[in-house]
This record gives sequence, C-alpha cells and structure tokens, in this order.
Amino acid sequence: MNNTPVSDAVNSYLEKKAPVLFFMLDLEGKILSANEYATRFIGRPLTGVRFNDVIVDFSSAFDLLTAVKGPPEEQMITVCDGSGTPETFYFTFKQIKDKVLAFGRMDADELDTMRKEVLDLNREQNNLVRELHKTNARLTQKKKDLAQSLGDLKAAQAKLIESEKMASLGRLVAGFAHEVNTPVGIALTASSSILESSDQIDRMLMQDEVEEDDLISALETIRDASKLVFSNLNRSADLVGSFKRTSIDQSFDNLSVYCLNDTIDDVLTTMGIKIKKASVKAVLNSRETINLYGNPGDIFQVISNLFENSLLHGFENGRLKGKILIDIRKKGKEVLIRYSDTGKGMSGETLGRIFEPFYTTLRARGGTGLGMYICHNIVTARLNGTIECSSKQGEGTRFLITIPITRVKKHETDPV
Amino acid sequence: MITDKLYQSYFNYLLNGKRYECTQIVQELLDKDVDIHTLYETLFQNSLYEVGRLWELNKISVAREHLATAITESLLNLAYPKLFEREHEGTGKSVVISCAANEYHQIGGKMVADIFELNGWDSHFLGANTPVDHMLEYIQETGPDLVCLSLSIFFNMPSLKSGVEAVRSNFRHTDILVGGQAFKWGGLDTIKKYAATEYIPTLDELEKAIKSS
Repeated sequence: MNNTPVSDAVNSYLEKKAPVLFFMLDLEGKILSANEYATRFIGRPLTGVRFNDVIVDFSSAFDLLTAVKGPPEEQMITVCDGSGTPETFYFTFKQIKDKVLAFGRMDADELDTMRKEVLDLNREQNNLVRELHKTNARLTQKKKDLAQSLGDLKAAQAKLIESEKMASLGRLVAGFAHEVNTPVGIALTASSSILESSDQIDRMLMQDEVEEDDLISALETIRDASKLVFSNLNRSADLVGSFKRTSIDQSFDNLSVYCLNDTIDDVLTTMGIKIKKASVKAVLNSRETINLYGNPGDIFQVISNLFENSLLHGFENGRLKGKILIDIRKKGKEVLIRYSDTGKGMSGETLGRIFEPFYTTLRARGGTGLGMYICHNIVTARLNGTIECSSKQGEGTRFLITIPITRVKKHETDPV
Repeated sequence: MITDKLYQSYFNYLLNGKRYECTQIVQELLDKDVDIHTLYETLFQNSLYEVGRLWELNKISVAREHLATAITESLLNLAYPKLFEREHEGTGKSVVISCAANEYHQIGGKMVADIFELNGWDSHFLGANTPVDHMLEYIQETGPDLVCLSLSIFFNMPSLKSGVEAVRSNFRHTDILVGGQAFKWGGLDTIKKYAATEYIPTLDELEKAIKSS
C-alpha cells in the first residue's frame, strides 16, 4: 500500500486492532514478526517461533512451501489462544521475495450463525430448566399429598384393626358363653334333681315306714346327679380358667412362661362346639411339652383365627367334613407350628393375597379380611417369627409358623 | 433489602458480564428470603430496562445486551425452587404465555409466566419466536383461561398483531393480555381494536390484574 493517510489508518488498524492474524515468516517457516492481535490472541511472544509450533496440526501435514506454491485457496488452520482454546482461521500464504506473508481470518458469517444458535440453545435450555423446576415442585407436592393420604389410610387401617380385635374378643366371649352354657345347664338340671330327691327323702323320713328300695333309688339319683354336677362344674371351671387366661393375656402385656401345648388345647376347648358342629376333627400332635416365655394370648389369637378360617372357608361353614391337624415341635432355636386342614384349599390369587389387609373372598357375608393380616402381624411383629401358607385347591391348606425362642428365659423354660 | 447500592453493584457486574458475582448477589438475597416479586421488579426488570436503554443509545453493543439477558435468565433459575414451591392450593386457572413470531427476547414473557405462578396459576411458557400455528395448537391442547403475548422489539408489531388476530378468531372466549417494551414506541391503538384484549404495562400492574380476576 502507498503511504497515504487512508492506507496508514488501514495499516494501523490491521496491525493493531483487527481480529486477524498476520505473520511474516522466513522460508523455513520461522516467524519474523506478527501483528498485535496475533500476539495477544496466542498470548506469548512469537518472534523466532516456528509457525508449525503455533498451529494445531495433528497429522503434521502442514508444509509451508506447498502452501505457498499451491493454488491460491484459503486453508483452514486451527490456532490455540492463550488459554488453550482452539479457534479456526482461514489462512492465505503469499511469498514476497525471501519471505512469506501468512494472513488468517475468522469466518464472521459462521461465527454470527453459531452465536445465534448458541443464544437459541441457551434460551431453550433455560426454558427446560424452568419446566424441570416446575415439574419437580409439582411432584414434591404430590409426594407430600400422598404421604398425607398414606398416613390417613394407615390411621384408618389401625382403627379398623383395633375394631376387628375387639370384635374378635366379642366373638370369643360369645363362644365362651355358648360353651359354658351346656355344662352349667346340665349341672342346673342335675342339682334340681338332687333337690327333688332330697325332698323325696325328707318326705320318706317323715313317714313311719320307709321303703328301702325307694330310699336307695333316691340316694342313687342324688349320687348320679351330684356326679353330673361335679363333672359339669369342673368342665365349666376349666372353661372359665381357659377364658380367663385368654382374656387377661389379650388385655395386658402379660409376659410369663407358658405351655404352648396347653395354650393350643385351650383354643381347642374354647372352639370345641364350633368344631363339633362343623363335623371337623381337630387334633393336636406334640411329642414334647414346649414352654415358652411371652404372651400366650398371641398364640391363642393366631391359632383361633386359623381355626375360624378353616371352618368358614376350608370346610364352607360345616358343609364339608374333614380334619385339622396341629403339630408342634422344637427345631434348634425355633419352635415350628405346622397347621393343616383337609378343606377345599384356595386359588393362587387368594393364596398370593392371603396376608393382605382387607382381602376377603366373603365380603358379602361380613368378612373383614383382617383375620389373616392380624395373624401375620402377631407372628412377625410380636413373636418375631415367620408365617408361610401353601394351599392346593381340593387338597387343603397348610401354615408353617416359625417362632424364634431367643427371648425365652433359659432358667424358666426348656433348654434350647 | 435491595438497596440502591446493591442494585448499582449488581448492575455493574451484569453490564460487565460478571455472572458469578451476579449469581452471588441473587443467591444471598434468596437466602435472606427476598420477596420474588421484588427481586424480579427491582433487580431484574430495572437492570434489563437500563441495559435496553443503553443499547438504544448505542452505548453498549448487541453482544453485551445479549450477555446481560442470558445472565439474567440464568439467575431466574435460582429463584425457581422457591417460586414453584406452593404452600396453598393453586387457583385451578391456567395461562399460555408466548413471544410473538420472530421475537427473540423472551425474558419479559418468562417473568410474566413466573408472576402468574406466584399467584397460583398454572403457566405454560412457549418461549421466543413461537410460530402462530404452534401457539394455536398449544392453546387448543391446553385450553387456558388466558393467553399473554409478549413483544420487546417494536419492529415486530405486525407479528404480534397476527398472533392476536389468530387467537381472537380461533378462541373467541379466551381473554388476551399483551405487554413488553415494544409498546413504549406505540402500538396501543392497534391493540384496542380487538375485543377482550388488554395491554399491561408492568409486572406490578399484572399482579394487580391477576389478583382482581
């Protein structure tokens, strides 16, 4: 360029401010001088540095002489700035005597397009972040609402379970009243017979003569009736004792050493009439006496519920005949209670949901679906044990209850 | 809480592209439980209006204006956990907010959407440069109670007009609100011609309108 004021201004701009790279190289590719922007952009003094050491040339394919002698096209070359960030420039090379002028420019169109794209992407990303926060807040609120509903449901469930426990106790009392009514009735009839025979003897003694046969007959009646009174009152006392144990155990956390065999016998006694009415034979099979430490009411309630279920579902409330067998034994540090009935069994779906609260196949007939849930709760939560159920339709149902006896006080119970 | 000194300091950082410093100021205000509406109006809206004014006076470049906008938009994200956290039931009402076609300045519309959220509305923000047919499709899909259209650049007024006309003719019973910096230069007469279409000049006015609806 000639040294006019305009060309001076342009040269000064190109030299000092323009965002382009100017290098004057020798034919070996050594940088003899660079414009201010190039020095600032690359961030280090460039004089004396090889041009190949300034550019990013992964395959070492750049050759200055080829670039100079080749067709006058721009070559895309990457140069790293002072922070190591690569930037692409379009270079042209021109030989001037024994020097080469290398001129690199950025593609302003490309940069502008990219800038707009980046702005678009940034906006979209920010909009997505907003949506994300919004969705997250809504989900958190839903989670809170669900937790609240779950809390309410659990409270309602606990209430229902408590009601069912009370109803179960009520049924027990009614069963007990029914059971005790028979021996008390017999004892009452027998005692009235004793009274009648006593009056008869009184009358005989008031007469001058007493027929020996009559006296003997009256005394025999009194003796027979007394036997009946005695045996039936004994039976009543047994029932009362059994009920007392059960009711006390259900009302209080009455931890004590108790005999598992006796507790299951108590269930059989209490449910005797129901079992008989249903034409079901119930047998407890135990090879040894098993003493446990805890609350006998827990076992009582579990076994009672299993019985109730067998009678109602397995034997269709007396329509089917069959057997219930309970086998108890110790195995290592555990007690195994195997309960089985020969009832009609249950479907796979019912079996899969048997311990689920409120699941019942007899809702229309007043089933609450809580009996087996309560059993499961007592065994797992109070007795720290497990309860498993298996069943085949037409063959019956089996329960295996396993209770650890680690809580047993060794000095008071059988050695484990 | 937001003093003139704090605002000035924030504005200087914003103008110089210092996003970490801006973030720090906003986060500290949020930690002190600043009212979101105040934060939006006093800090974000005022600073962006000033950035816009400096650009119009050719005191700052478009690039700097874009950077200030991008920084502010990223700062809105900081407020979202608090903004979307609702203690009460929502109003059950919903609003679609969109920028006119070819309008790339979306932050004003987004702040409008956020003010609706603060007032218990469900907001659907469609973003910058939303083609009219996309907007109509979305309105059809969500059936909002209200549609808001935002315009920042006066030059794009015809696009806004097309948007208003399209909503008006396709959804006769849906109210429309319009707003944005473009109306500083005119356009209100155009808007007045449409039924159930109103211009809202500020976030404050918007909040008043929402509360009285």
